[in-house]
Amino acid sequence: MTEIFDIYLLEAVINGILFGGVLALLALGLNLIFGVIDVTWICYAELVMVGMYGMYFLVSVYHVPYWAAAPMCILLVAGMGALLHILVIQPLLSAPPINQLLATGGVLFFLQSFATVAFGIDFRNLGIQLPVLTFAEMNFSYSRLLSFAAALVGMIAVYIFMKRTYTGIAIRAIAQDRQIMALMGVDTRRIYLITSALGGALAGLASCLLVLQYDVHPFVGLSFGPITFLICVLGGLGNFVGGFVAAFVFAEIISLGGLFSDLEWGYVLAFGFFIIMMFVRPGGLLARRS
Amino acid sequence: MTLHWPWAWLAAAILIALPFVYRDPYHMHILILILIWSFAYTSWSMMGRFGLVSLGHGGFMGVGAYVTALLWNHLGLSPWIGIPVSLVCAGVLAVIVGYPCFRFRITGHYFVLVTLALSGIVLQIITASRDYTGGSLGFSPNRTKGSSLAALQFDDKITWYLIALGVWAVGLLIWHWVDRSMDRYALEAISEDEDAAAAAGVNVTWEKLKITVISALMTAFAGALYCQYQMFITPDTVSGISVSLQMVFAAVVGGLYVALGPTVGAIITILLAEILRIGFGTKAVGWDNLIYGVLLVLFIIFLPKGILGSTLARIRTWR
Amino acid sequence: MNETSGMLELKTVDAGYGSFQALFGVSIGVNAGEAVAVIGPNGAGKTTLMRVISGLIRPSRGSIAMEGADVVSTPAHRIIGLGIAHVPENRRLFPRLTVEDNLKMGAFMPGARARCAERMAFVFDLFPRMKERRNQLAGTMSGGEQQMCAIGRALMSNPKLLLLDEPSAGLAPVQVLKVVDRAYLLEAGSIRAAGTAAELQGSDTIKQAYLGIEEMQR
Repeated sequence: MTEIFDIYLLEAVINGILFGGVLALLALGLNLIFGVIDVTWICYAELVMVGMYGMYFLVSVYHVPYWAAAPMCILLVAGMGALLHILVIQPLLSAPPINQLLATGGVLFFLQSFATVAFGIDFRNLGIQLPVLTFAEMNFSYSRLLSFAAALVGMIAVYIFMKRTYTGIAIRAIAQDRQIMALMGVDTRRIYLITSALGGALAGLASCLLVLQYDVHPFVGLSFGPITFLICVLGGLGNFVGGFVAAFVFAEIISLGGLFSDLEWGYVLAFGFFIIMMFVRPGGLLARRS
Repeated sequence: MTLHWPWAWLAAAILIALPFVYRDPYHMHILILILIWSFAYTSWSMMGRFGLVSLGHGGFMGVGAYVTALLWNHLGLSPWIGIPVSLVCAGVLAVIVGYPCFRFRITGHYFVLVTLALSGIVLQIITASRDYTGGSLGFSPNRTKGSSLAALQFDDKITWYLIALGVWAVGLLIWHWVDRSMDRYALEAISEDEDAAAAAGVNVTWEKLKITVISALMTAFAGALYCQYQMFITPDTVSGISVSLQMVFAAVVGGLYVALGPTVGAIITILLAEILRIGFGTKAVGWDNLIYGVLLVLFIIFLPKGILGSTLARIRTWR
Repeated sequence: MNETSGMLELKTVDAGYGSFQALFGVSIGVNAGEAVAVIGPNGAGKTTLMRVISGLIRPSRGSIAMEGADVVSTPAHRIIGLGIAHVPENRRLFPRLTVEDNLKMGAFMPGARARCAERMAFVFDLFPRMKERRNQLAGTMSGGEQQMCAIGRALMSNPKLLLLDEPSAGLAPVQVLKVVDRAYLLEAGSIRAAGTAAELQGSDTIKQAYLGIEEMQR
């Protein structure tokens, strides 16, 4: 009896790690925008939602193969990120930060309702069924495994970009000292735009991965948006490593919580953990900016 | 905004007399909704005006509504007991979330995100306990026959109007009371520069916690009131991000720093929703939020003081 | 006064911050191949002057030309393309980037990237200590090392004009005049004196500006 219990536990732990990959991807996107531009896109999860709808339409309705649709989707959401920056964030760069936040809140509203009006509230599914890998009496869906691998690849790609390319270094630099960037010949507006597109691209990648596992509907953003925010806060807004670690911690809690009860309680458990952490105040709550 | 007493009394007299003169039930219904939501939006603005922007007030409203209704349906506890209990729950929630935030100087972005998560979690809890709460399908308090004071259910629109009017007025009174208190200056100092305020002897954590609890209690009360009036609640209408954002939208558009600003915001949001409903029928689902979203963005960019706030500022410069 | 058509020319420049004016009718010239100092007491406007030249602040009046090209109408981030490199006050390195990444940022400009390796070798030659510390985070170095890194970063773009803001913070003007060809005295936003280093070294005007000492030879 305990043997079976252990297997289920191990399965949940591993599933947690797999889930953590995608959450880490989301956290990275949010942290990027905050760390560089100093704004929080409250509507980040809604960008993912739009990406998921994009994939649904490309794959299920227009029968574009998944492997071709994914890059298109990433480009689409990258474009949306850039658009968001130009239309909403840029006019507000010198306004109080609260205003920037509220404006993205307005965009959240807008995207959710747009999806409701345009696509209806029905749940849509991509219709792709990937097989399940059975290993030592544990079951792991290939979609989970693929998501984890793709998320990891995505994050490594971003890491290399930030370390090796001039633009990547400039993005890191601008987060540290915005005012002297012009002295290096850097057009800050362009860097912000590129960063926004990159944040969007990460959301787009996440949407390609999430759409394999979950149904899409206008409010699907509410399922992982709040969790992403908690992850980033706990890891420290703008702290890439912190967000990465916190993502896996939360994913484990959700996964293990789901083992014992409904999935929703896993989220509640995660929030409770977050509250406790705030009281205990580990180093994770120390961020570069507040 | 100072209360010019003769005008205030005149307005109060008109408002109180109104339902006895003009009784169209539909219009009464709209007015009641406007009053209840004005109170809710004013509650949010109690914090919002000091820079403590919370996107979690949907959570407090949900707690107020659901705890009252659940206690009535499952335990037979009258709302006279249920509402205070729900207020206590909301207050406790506010302290649990607020205390670590304020104690550890979690402000700005962090604070908003934490409150956002709060409302999300409350929504999840309500949905997850669907066996008790009915989940997304909604929940109805058990009806009593006719009007009952013990059950706080009234058939009569006039009664509800007067109750809502009274509550709304109390909300404004609380606003004025805070306005005149030392806490107001402390909170304004805090919103300008926390460290300087602390250095000047302000107990930052305590002040922030006080206003948060006041705001949370008022919002929860609005939720309970709404529940008793509408007799039907769903997680989306009383809790969650949508409600939270709606509060922000209304307060921003109406005028965040002005007592009657949230009321103006309520008038706008409710009338807009009704116009859309009448004009488009069921196709209107989602359109109202769509327009809110666009308007919120536009207002933040172009008119951050809101309609009332900007108008008042203009008037002051004319003088 | 020199009326040479120099490499860098400022003519009657007014500039300030909002309603506060910091520079009044400043005219300065720098020729190729010479070292020019702008000396003056604290608050005279020296940093403002540097910022105006590198485009961080726009002048409200006057003209600035670099080899004939109009600087005022050039966007700030293109001024480095005109050959002007600025080492800001307090160095302003990127603290959490390595020395090497800081230097790379100096060569960000498209024209400079192709020569990045070459320029970096030049900088390491000039400052061997930087080569030792190339992978160290810039914020963890000492003040002197940061200064070397900041100057090195400015040199990465192979500039024609190097602006150094307070490189020798608080160094007495007498010492500064020993290493430059010409100098200007800036006081309360206006040029009070100008000339070769030798001319200014003997001048009483400098002493007055810095110490408020009245002429004592009467």
